[in-house]
Amino acid sequence: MRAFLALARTALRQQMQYRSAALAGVATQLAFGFLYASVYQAFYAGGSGQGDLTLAQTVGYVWLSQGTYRMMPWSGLRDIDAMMRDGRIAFELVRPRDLFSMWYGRAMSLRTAPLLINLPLVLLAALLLPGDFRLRLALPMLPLGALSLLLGMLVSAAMTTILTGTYFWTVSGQGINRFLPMIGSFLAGNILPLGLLPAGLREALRLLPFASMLDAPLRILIGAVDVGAALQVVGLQLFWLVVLAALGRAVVGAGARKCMVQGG
Amino acid sequence: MQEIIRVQDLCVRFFVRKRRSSLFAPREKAAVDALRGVSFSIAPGEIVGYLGPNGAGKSTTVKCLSGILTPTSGTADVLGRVPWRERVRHVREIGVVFGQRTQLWWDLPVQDSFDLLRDLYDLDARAYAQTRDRLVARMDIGDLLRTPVRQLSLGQRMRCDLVASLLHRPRILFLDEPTIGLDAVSKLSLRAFIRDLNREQGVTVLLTTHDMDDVEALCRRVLLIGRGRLLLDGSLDDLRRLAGGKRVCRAQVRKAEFPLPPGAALRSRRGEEVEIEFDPERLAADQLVLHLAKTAGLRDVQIQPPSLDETMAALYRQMGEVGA
Repeated sequence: MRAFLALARTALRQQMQYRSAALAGVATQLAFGFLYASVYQAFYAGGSGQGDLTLAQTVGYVWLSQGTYRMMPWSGLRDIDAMMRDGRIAFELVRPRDLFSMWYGRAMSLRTAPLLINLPLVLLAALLLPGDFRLRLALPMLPLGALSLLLGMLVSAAMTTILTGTYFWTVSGQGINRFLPMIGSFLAGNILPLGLLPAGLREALRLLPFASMLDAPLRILIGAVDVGAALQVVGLQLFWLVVLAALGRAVVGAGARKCMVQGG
Repeated sequence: MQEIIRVQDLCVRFFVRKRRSSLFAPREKAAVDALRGVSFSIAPGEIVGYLGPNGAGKSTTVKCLSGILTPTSGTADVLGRVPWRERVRHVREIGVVFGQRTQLWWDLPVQDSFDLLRDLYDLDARAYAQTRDRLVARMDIGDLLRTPVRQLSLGQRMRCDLVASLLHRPRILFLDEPTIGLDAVSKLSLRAFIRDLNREQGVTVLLTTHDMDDVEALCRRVLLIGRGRLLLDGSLDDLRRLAGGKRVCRAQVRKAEFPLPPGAALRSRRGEEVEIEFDPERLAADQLVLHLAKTAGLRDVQIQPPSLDETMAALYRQMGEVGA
């Protein structure tokens, strides 16, 4: 446990080396938040709302998804990809630790660090905005929502670790780094709130692990579900966390066994 | 004495994919045998040089012994364990340095890497602090601890890497080309450090290197491998004998032209300085000197064994592996 936390802390410190990049990111996300919020206002004013979200909820969803933007598994652990290319991966294997736990710890901090910077700033900005632009949180759902957000981060970290494990089989991680996250971010509700999709599609997508990373906590936080449904959502997140963690362990384990460190 | 490392019939076969001749041709795989039945054992407290040309299988052996690589067949017993079967427990007792790669965290100050290793190895805080302070003082890196690793020179980084590999007080140290790219001062201090570590704490060292000065300074025993097979297990003299046991006669002569007796060959000539290589089995040294005195106008003479680098080059030529 101590080692796990130490790795997470170290990765966090590495992340914090790029503070100005993170702040620039916040500015971008604010701008996009405004854009999306305006688009949805026009959409709700002109169209017939087919989704299961109200305008206020959709705007809330937009702000929260901007704040949690970098919590999504946008790539595996890039430094592990680099280590596999240049052979430093050997040092990962001479540590008296299980590879999956080491990488999961790092993945956790990779997904948490930007959250610590982005979320408070975006929330603050959004809460101060006037009228239809304001983020309205469902205050009674806040504890469950926070729990769900934590689970979402853990599911995302598990996916990150699986992506990292696949690097064992590829010469470069760039392919999967570009491919899977683009699809995943749609499936998670990052590009379009899942609630705005046709009923059958959105119900199906909500069963997938990607929705457990983002759509689940967001829906709870904006009050789109009642307590009973929220508990079901959290239960599904727990299920995916267990499944993805087990899958990640299997992938990393199989990769390590076949890994033959070349060169030198 | 009880052996600390025992290797038996170690074989490692890699499969390398070949480029397809056309898009529809089946993918071909070529087998590469990195190790073909290597056996040796090492006693506690030895420093053994592990030599061979590039691609001979040195690093592959080290990877097997450090538990990173599972061999295709054969066994190894290191401190009573099979490294690749009990990797996690095994690696607590070994230290590994790959000279071409760093185990420190690139963006972090050296101290942070050390602390992280403390946590990764579950070291007792007080014992860790003692070991670290002793190593830091001995390697003289106290001033570097707050510097991010990326800002260190190669020599500084190597000293920090060596300290990092010893924080958990391993009983065996695998050094893979630890002096590669280092300047003379760093090399000498690194060698002295390794020698002291071996003498004072009895750490067993397996040293892979192409720097024959490292070998001469540190190793009484060497293992030579080529094309995945063990070719020699013996002393440096055994190594020289294997290379043909030639001697080099460096002489100053007045005459520009002179005949050489059978068993001797002129290697180079610069002004009055000549280098003659001869085989002491066929031509005794005194005969050669006598001959030079009579025919070449000898002024000065020195007879030496060839340098280890020359010995190794001769050996590798025999093995037909140069440039492989």
